[in-house]
Amino acid sequence: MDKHRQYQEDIVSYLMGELDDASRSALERHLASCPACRRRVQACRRLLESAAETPEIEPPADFTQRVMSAARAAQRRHTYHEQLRQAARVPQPVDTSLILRKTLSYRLARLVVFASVFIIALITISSMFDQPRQPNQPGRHQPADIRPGDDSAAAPYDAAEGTAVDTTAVAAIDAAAEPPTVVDAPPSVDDIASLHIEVPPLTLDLPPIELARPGSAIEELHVLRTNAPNPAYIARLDWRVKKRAVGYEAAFAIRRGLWWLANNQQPDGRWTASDSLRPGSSEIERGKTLSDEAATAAALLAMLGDGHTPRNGSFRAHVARGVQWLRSRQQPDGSIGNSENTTPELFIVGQALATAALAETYGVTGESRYLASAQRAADRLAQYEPKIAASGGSIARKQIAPAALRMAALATVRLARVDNHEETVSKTAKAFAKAASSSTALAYPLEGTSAPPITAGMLSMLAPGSAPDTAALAGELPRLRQHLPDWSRNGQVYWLCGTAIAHKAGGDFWQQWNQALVQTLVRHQQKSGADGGSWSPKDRDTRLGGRVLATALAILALETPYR
Amino acid sequence: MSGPDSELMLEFQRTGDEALFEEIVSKYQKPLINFFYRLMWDRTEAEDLAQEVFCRIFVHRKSYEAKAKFSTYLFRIARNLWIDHSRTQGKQPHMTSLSMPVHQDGRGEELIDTIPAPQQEMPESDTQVARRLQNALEQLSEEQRLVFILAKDQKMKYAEIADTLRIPLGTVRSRMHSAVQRLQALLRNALD
Repeated sequence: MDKHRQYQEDIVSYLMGELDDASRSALERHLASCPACRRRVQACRRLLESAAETPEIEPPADFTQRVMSAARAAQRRHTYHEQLRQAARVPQPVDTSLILRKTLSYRLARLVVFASVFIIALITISSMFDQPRQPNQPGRHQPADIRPGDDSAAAPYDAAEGTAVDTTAVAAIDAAAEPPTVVDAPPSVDDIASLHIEVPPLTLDLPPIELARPGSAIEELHVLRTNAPNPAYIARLDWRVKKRAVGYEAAFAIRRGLWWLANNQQPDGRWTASDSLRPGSSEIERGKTLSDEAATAAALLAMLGDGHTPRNGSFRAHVARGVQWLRSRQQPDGSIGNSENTTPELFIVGQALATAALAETYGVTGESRYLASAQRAADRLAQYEPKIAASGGSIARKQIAPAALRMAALATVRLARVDNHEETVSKTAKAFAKAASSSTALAYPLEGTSAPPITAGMLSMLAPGSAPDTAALAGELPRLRQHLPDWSRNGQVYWLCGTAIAHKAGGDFWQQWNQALVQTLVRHQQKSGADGGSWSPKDRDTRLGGRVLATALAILALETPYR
Repeated sequence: MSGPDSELMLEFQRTGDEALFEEIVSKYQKPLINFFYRLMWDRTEAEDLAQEVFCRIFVHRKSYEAKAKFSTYLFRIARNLWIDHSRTQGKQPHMTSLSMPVHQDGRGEELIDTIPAPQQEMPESDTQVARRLQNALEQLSEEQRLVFILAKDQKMKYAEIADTLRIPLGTVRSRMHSAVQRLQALLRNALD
């Protein structure tokens, strides 16, 4: 029986050609005399043959190129991380002490607070048990051993009992407390009862948590932890940095907005603009509605901007599905979606948003799977040349937004270290600068609002990671100052551009602008119902993308400090 | 022992000539994509993981040693990557109920109806038995599936599989035997 079972176990190896000569001969002899094993051989053979019939899939034609491109990027990232690791091995006193100081000062401060509370509580309790021994003690809070004319009470705070002890303890806890009042004459009981000691509030002088600066140890630790190819993305991955950067109200509004987006994602992973158009915007032609690819990309950018990636964050499943859908829409030439279903300008808007979303996905994850898609999308986007009129070098009105978004997307590509589109970015930037200096016709009016027109200079500042151009800032600031974010006067596109500029300008103006922005957006965010957490579109361009685009742009504006 | 592909890899390691690596990619892309495809039945995922395997080999080329066949080295990385990937995927929470209605009025199809079944990705020429085989393969344990796919689809010898998966030869034999037995039980009607 055991022998029979052994033969049965050898049958698969026999059919796979894995039996040695002796075992094979023995099995074949057994098969000649055992019909059960012969049937088993036939059944196993049928199974293995049917397994061989399962068709294979063919790799895509450009797979080798995709792999090579991804491999080169992975090599660059690996080299960069290696450098960081090397640097981390060398002691860096400045940055290390920064981390230590932050950690220690917080712990020390916490310890001091706990210790103070503990000591005060202890002393208060002990003072309750050390009640005055005099029978005519008037009240618990009055020092019992201080009597008029008693020399021992000349310095009431010397006494190691009664309220005097409390004061000494408080004075010991906080060095900044007022020194005890020197009383020449022995105070009366009433004097002491009415004595009010000011204890200044204990303030913790904690160093502010700064956004990690390039080259700092914190930044390097984050990069090593997250695998992001560029440290520029780390701020959004750290909730402490985020909360400190935008404040509670804005952080809450962002969160609610993201929940609305998450709940309005389609089962296949896309967001759709047309379904969310408001009844009042029925004049918008169907054909000119922003594509689903653009709406999806905008929603993804809002989620990525808050640090949610396909692997991390509360909305990781939504981001993963959305990115997967975008990638599934990519054509062999790199286009995201079908360029024939829409106008050329709207197609470029969609392509730019999708490129930025894919590049950021790669930027925050460092995963090579997103690299090829981002690369091909960027290559396709770089092919688009905005038409620049010969006279004065101005860009056609309807091409301003696509051209600016294209530049911003390519700058995102550069920031994510997908590939170097430096030349295209700088070429477009120069064209903008030239047009802006020579023609006022470049201004991009926001129909349906009383906001000042968006200029090329403003749009060009949407490019993430771009250094503030002081001349351009000086030109834009006075107009922005007169038109702070206001729900009844301006809209999402203006808020997003203006916030980018205000943040780059910094200082008081940024505080003023951000306060107005947060107030406006928090006040007008839908509070409840199916639209709870979203915003309605305010300007004509945002209406093209409906509530999805309006919400995504509002979130992006709020995220500006840490994006 | 190591074979011509190992020589190619060593040459690439020595010179850094990307053309040599491209040759490796061209040769192994199809087996590798199909290896992942058999494990996940998702073409995009299979391509992504295959790309990641090549990226890892490219970046860590200095650590390659021609102790075994190149394919052994390649599929060992692939197997490790697949295990990492399936663990990560297992951690992904389900954010939406599959019985959630797609339409707001609550009528009509549910979300679960809109999710494409895995077999939809298979070529149309596929037979009914092959489809059932695919479903049956998914019911094997990870270990059994790996051994079966490497032996049947990649046509690896048992010794090579043992080397790739770092398990004894006897274990390969018994896993293959159990895999075939289990598949037979699952496909009894289809094969008869």
